[in-house]
Amino acid sequence: MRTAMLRRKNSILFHVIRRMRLPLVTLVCVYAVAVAGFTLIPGRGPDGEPLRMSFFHAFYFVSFMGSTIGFGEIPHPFTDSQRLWTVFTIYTSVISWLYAIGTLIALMREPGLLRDLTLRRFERHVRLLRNDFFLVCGYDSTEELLVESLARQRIQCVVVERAAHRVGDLETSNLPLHVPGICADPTDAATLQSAGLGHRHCRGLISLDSDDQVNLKIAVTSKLLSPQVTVICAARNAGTEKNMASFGTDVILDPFAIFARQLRTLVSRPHLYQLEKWFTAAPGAPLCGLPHPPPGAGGRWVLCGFGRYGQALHAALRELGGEVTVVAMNPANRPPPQAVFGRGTEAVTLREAEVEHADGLIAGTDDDTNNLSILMTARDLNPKLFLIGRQNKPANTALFAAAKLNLVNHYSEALADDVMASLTAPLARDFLHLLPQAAEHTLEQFASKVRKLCRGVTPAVWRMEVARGGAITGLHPAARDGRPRCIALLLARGTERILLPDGQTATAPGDSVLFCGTQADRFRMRFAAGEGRRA
Amino acid sequence: MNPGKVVFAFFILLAMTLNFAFFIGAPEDPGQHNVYLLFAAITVGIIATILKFGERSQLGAVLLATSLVADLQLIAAALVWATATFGGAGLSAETMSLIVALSGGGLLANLVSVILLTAETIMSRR
Repeated sequence: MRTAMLRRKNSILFHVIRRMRLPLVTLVCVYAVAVAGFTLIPGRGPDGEPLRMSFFHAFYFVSFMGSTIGFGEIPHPFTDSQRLWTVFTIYTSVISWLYAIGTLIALMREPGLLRDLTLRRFERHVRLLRNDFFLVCGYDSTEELLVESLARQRIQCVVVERAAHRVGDLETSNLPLHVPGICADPTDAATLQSAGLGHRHCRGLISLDSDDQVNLKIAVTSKLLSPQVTVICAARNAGTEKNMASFGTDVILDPFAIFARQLRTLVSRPHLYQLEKWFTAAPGAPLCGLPHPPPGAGGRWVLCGFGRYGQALHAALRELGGEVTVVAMNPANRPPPQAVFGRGTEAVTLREAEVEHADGLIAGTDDDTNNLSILMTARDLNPKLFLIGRQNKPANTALFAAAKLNLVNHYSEALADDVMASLTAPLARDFLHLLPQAAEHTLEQFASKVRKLCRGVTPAVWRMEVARGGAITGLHPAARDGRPRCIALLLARGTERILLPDGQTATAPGDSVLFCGTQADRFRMRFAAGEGRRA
Repeated sequence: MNPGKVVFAFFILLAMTLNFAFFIGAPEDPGQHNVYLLFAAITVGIIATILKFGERSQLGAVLLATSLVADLQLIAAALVWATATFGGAGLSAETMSLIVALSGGGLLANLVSVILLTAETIMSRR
């Protein structure tokens, strides 16, 4: 497989060399004839005696004449027959040079060759990577968010994207790391290998295409070629999900299931929802708050659209004990029997669904314009509604932001956040897994502490190895003057995990502690730990 | 019959025969070694080298290497000749035998090239 790939890659270069053969042979022939001519034509020496040019002098003369440098008639003034031959050779040699250089320039501009050169440069970049990296297939809005979050956490990525303008966007994006990107088809096995599948530092592969078949193909390819690589894929169909699970795809993300889970968390445990958002966002981003208290678990909801999204959210709300009125257009999706028939964009339909008495409304059709229209109409009818909009196209972000909704369900963000949660350091992942076990009022206190500490910016999370033991507060130099500057999230001792340990909790050498705080505190703490080790 | 193959084989063979024509004769006698033959051998040798560019097979790579060796030795012979003539020392019997020896090395490389070409032709006949 390796040699087959190399052969295909070199073919363009060989093609170029082969096409240069005729111009080069022409050039050699013209020079040979010119040189031979000068050695044969009778000339005259300095005193007028007959003298023929030697090969050395002939080659010297032809060399500077053919390249249009023209030092003059060297070594002795020419006879007229030599001048006649010079006239002939000037034109032939200049024409053959033009032919050779013209062919070379034409070949340099050949798209195939340029693509080949770009691919080689990209492969060299990937080969020289010395840190663990993730291979990201596609570079749409989801991947853009993801790559940015990863780069901010100094996690290396490599991008394969089909559209050339998106690769251009990657190259011009202002990321803290150099992220190599190539314009190629990610479903092609050879492309994935060029992009680092099989590289000893390739930790995982991420494919979040909106087409399930693409994700499936990429997952199969990577599991066949390097089974040890973690494969993270999106699947929108239950069938695809089962198929992917059958050959060992490590993480399968269903955007609809993510929305359903998020809604469940938001309604039943708003503070947990908020904390999960904070700890999966890129450090340094502004902290998102809870804009509006969501309706309680038993609230009344109106759900417009009953596709896969609507069905997932319907199930989630029913599970929470909510009362849901469905507005559906297509009977083929089998909406519940008491559903209202219609699009939901007209006030009549919404009134029929009793939107005036509802607590929340979800606009979940697959058309952004319709969703926005539903939301605007519903807000007119009942200004107190908790509004959730489903955004399908990344281009409409500004519109959904202007609509000032309580929650926008956007695939890109949901998928990127979820992938980030599964890619973060193992200790941070443990923290996110354990977080739901804490009581809601504990989380509320914790959230307000984090908000005060980080001054409205997403906290940085880092891990410290305990060297000497003692209370957790002792790990931080600034804590000695009584002002805690960071919060311990998790204490790991062997396989034991203690969530949100108290500052006075004793640690032993060999433990590790996960902290959160500002970026500056992180550096300060790291620096202090380094000093301590040297002392 | 492939015209490309004819040209290819023609130049490789001609490079060898011209090289041989220059090489043959008493080594120390400049009268028995024509400078035009050396010039022709170098020119045809360079053309043969260019024709071997861009061959992807293992054999193509070896063929290119033999041609490069032959060119190197023949050009070295020409340089020795030029320095001896124009450096003032004159073309002594010693220098001439050095030139002929270098061209003999080139001849050997050209011979290997022809043998490889013949071998490939016979193999592909099967």
